[in-house]
Amino acid sequence: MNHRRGARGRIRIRIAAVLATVCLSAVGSVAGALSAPAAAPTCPGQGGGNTDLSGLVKQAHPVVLVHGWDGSPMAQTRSLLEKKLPSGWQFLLFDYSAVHDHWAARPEIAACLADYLADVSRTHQRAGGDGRVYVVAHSMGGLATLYAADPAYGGASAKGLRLAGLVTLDTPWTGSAWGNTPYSWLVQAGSNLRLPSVTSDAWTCLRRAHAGSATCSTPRLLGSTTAVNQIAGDITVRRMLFGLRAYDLPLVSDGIVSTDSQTGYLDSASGTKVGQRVDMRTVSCTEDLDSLGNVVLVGALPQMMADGHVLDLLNAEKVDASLLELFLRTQFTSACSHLKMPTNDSAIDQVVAALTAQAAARPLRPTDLLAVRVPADCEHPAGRLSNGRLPLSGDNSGFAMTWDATTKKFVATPLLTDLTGDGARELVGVMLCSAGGVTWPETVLVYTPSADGPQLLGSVNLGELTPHEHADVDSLKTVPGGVLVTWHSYEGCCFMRQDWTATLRTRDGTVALVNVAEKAPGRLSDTATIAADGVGPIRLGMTSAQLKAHLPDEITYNPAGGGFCASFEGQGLNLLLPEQQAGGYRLEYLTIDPGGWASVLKTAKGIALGSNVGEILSAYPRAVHSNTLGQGIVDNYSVQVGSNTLGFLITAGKVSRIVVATTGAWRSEELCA
Amino acid sequence: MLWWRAAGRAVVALAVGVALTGCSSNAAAPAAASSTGTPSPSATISTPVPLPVASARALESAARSGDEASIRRAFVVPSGTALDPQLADGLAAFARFDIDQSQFVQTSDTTATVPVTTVDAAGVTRRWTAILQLIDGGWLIAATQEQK
Repeated sequence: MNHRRGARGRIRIRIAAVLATVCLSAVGSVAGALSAPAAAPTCPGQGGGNTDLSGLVKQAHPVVLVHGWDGSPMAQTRSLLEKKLPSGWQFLLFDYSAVHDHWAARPEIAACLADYLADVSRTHQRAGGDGRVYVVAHSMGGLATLYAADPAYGGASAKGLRLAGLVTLDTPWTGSAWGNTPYSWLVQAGSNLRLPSVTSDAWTCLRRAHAGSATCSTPRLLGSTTAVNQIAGDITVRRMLFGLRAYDLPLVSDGIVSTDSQTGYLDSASGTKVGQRVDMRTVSCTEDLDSLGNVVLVGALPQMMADGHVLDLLNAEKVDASLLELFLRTQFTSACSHLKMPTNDSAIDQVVAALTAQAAARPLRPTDLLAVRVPADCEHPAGRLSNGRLPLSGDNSGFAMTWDATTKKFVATPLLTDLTGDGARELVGVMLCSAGGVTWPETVLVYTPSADGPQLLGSVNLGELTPHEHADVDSLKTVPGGVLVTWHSYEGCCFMRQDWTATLRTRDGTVALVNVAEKAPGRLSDTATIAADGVGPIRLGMTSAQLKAHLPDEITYNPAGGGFCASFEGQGLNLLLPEQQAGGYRLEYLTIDPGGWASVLKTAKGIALGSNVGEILSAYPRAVHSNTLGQGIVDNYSVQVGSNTLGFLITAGKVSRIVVATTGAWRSEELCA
Repeated sequence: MLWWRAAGRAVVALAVGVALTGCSSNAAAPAAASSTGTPSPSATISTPVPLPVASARALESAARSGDEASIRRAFVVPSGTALDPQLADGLAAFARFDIDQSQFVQTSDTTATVPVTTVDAAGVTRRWTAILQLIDGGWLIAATQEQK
């Protein structure tokens, strides 16, 4: 191949190169190592380029159209969309054409766009709407939206932005092979265009995906509650010889941005990819060489005839003049070229479909927890619940459920709350699972609405936060900044109980329980209630250390010794802690006797020292009467609850002692001797 | 470097002109396109390479052979690229396929043009400019443009 050219040939290349550069100014890259906005920028669109918001109504979803780097406001796109979606939507133009040549991360674009989107949201809310905003962006506009939604670039307005969905057309998520090439540099030679300096990161980062630059900072991915639909233009050149179809040359590109880059959102930015709702669609066009030849700019260059060379370039993701001219010619002829996609009828149809799907997400209901997909838990695989229960194969013993069909109750009462701040309520529920014959710590589940129904946003297994064999959620409650989760953890049936609180939050698209804290132990007082498993904060199974935290100082501790249990004694209370087989001492037997403030303690049904048998049987009709206890003859009534027993010793027809014990200890003949 | 800056400004001016008409995101295709423009014969040619009559006949024969391997020897086709299955039959179906070797013009060291006339089975005559590319010392047909 001879690379010599005449003067005219050089000019051709330069024209093509400059055109590429100018057109490339409509695109960008995923990154630009520009500093975060310092002060409030002067927003160029405020002068009238941006659509006035006074007409926003409750019944319509607001959609902001964001043009590309070199584009003008997408008025033609708006007109086409309005014809396809005549009601239920309001299309607004964001205009940064006055600073179109600036990098999208700059405050005059990113922060101004964030301000505008926030303003749209507020205005829509004031009109009675949900404040959820949709964006349709062309080319660089997609990246501008990503920067705008990142507080590091979008500023304060980016926080809590209610971005419901983003639809992109031809956005160079991972850059373009044209970036930082000699062709893009050429324009700088005598440039009166306000393109970024060739020394700026903008050009460097345009090739980020190909050059592997480490200097290009990136915005964060949008929150996982924002659906992203990427629409890519894909041109195929059909070579014709003497009017006959010869072969196809797939450009795998819209002429400026490769289809990989146009659909590379997930690879474009930092942040978690978990739970991201991303879709990609392609608009394909085939152009034959004859039709391209009709608008050829300066004639057929020899280079472009060598399609083998072109294919080699495409495969290697490289560019040169031959590919440049081929790409440029398609810009003006191909319906799915980078420049034409915003007005391409098929692309508009795809935008309509994407917006419709994004908005179709219905509000969640608590009963959605009966049929949601759940993550793998306690050795059970992930799957979809049926009537609140995970169908398990024969090899899987146990269960996983959010709903107990026997009691007809949820494992924990579900909660609907806007956890992500996007205006839509998330569904928070709890799953209990069992494997190996025991239940495992419960898992908190968070679902967000989507067009496909409830989508798992994330989950937290309480076993990761507390060390015990079991962890059961007690309540879910909406609090500022999240959901307050209250649970207790314990060993075995009921030992070593600890109560916990933490705040459930979404952060960077993930779900986390933060500020985990053990609830401050309460002190036993004369207002406490006697139950089968303890008195007030005192619970059977507690260690001496745990009991000390709950008992007033006047109740003294007696260490174990001489074959006796450890014990606490005072104010009418006597707590016995037999030595456990596994070691250590735990509360198994508690008595309340006359003499001291504890003598006024009552059960939840009002039985106290001095109550008579009639009152006992009235309060506890199933109380069992016995004349023996251990080896002695003692008139008593007892109520068994689970593995514990609430006992009443009777003297002269009245309760003379109340006992709270494990059933084993209650029946023991020799507990602490 | 004054020449460079001057050339650059000229290029930019051209670019701006085209960009203003065609490089807006909502713009239509440029209304005026230049002619298909056979490359100028005035381009510098250091090594003239003629197209002998025998070579023109060989190109005609290969093109109309109905055989894909022969077609690949007559046309510039990227290796590994699948030819349309109808191409060989379509070329073979021409009642006439004449390369006017006498009008051969070399436009650069590696490119040339030559007129070609085809007559299809229905008797329709079409005239083409074939753009030739010099590959391994021989001219192959790289592209065709119909003369309107």
